[in-house]
Amino acid sequence: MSEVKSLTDAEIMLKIAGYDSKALEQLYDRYTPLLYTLIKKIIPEKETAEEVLSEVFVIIWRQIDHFDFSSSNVYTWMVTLARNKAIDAKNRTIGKVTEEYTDDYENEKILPKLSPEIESVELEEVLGMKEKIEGAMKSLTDAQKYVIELSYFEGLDESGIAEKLKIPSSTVKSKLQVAIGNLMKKISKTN
Amino acid sequence: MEKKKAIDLIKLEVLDCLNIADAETLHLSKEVDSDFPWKELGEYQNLAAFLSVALPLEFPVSELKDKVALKLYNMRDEIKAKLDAKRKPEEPPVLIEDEKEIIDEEFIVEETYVPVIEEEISPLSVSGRIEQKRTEEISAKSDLRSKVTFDKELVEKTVKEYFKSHFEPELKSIRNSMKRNFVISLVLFAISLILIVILFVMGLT
Repeated sequence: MSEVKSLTDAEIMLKIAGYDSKALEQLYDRYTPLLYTLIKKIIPEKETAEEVLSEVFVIIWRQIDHFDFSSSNVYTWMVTLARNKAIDAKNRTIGKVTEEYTDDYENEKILPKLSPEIESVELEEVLGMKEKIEGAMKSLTDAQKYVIELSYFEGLDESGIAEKLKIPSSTVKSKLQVAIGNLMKKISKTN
Repeated sequence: MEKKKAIDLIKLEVLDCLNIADAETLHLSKEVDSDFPWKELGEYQNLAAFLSVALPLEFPVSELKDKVALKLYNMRDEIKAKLDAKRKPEEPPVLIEDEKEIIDEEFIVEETYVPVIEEEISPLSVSGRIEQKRTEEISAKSDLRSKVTFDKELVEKTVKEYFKSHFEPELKSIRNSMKRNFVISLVLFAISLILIVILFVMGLT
């Protein structure tokens, strides 16, 4: 176990591709707090959140061949996968999604489709940026924070947000674009 | 599509907030535009993933790790079937021509596995980044190959490893206490036997 502890996230994924269970255990130890936090934010019910988290690791084990080893962005792949799975579980609970959960569905809707030109980031690197990210979030207006919260963490679509805030869809779009654009500027500036 | 418009749609896509029409427009742009801003897409995908870091951390119960391990153990047949299904279309017809090889079942199985493993390894070997970092990983291709080839053994090994690392100390202490109990029972049995003999002798006298 100590041998895999020193490996980078990308190296761990490489070992998981060879069905190395210790590597998967190491990935679990590294990413569980962050992924569980994200899933719990989307699904506050503890048991369901835990179930979703365990499903995420099952998907990683089964679908490791879908991970893009050329860009090797483990962090964004893991977080996006966990977020997609949690939003899907939430939407199924409330009956918003009724489509059968098949392998094709999982490939299409749950597995992340990252840009082939994405820059690789690893968990440790992102945790080192925690203060910067928090600072950038704080710099947003309450309305901007709220629309990001509704879309990213509550999984509401454009019309859902428009209905909730009683504003036109076009306003929702522009608010989201400005919010994420400002966030990008702040983070790029601090970097 | 104009780059600015594409980036505006990317901003919505990474927040999973695209309506159907915009999603189709963006999808089409990805397919046909040679100057699609892939780099910006990657930057915004990373940015969206950063949002989770700002949340106060929560931890699941420690037993969840064992539950995950059990789930993975239960899906060993599924993984085996998946690997078998991948292998089937790869079987080279050449092998069937030689009857001697057909008789040697183990050899045929070994041969038919090779192309599949190459396919599985190929995405790893094209990665220049990882190649630089872990050349030994790539050079150990044959090791990885044997791991996947003997997937049944691998699954068993995986499970054994898990049990070894998680339950070995407990099993050791159980084994020790069994040994101790066996010795104590033997001693007690011997004492009881001696007492019976003494009582018998006393009864006779």
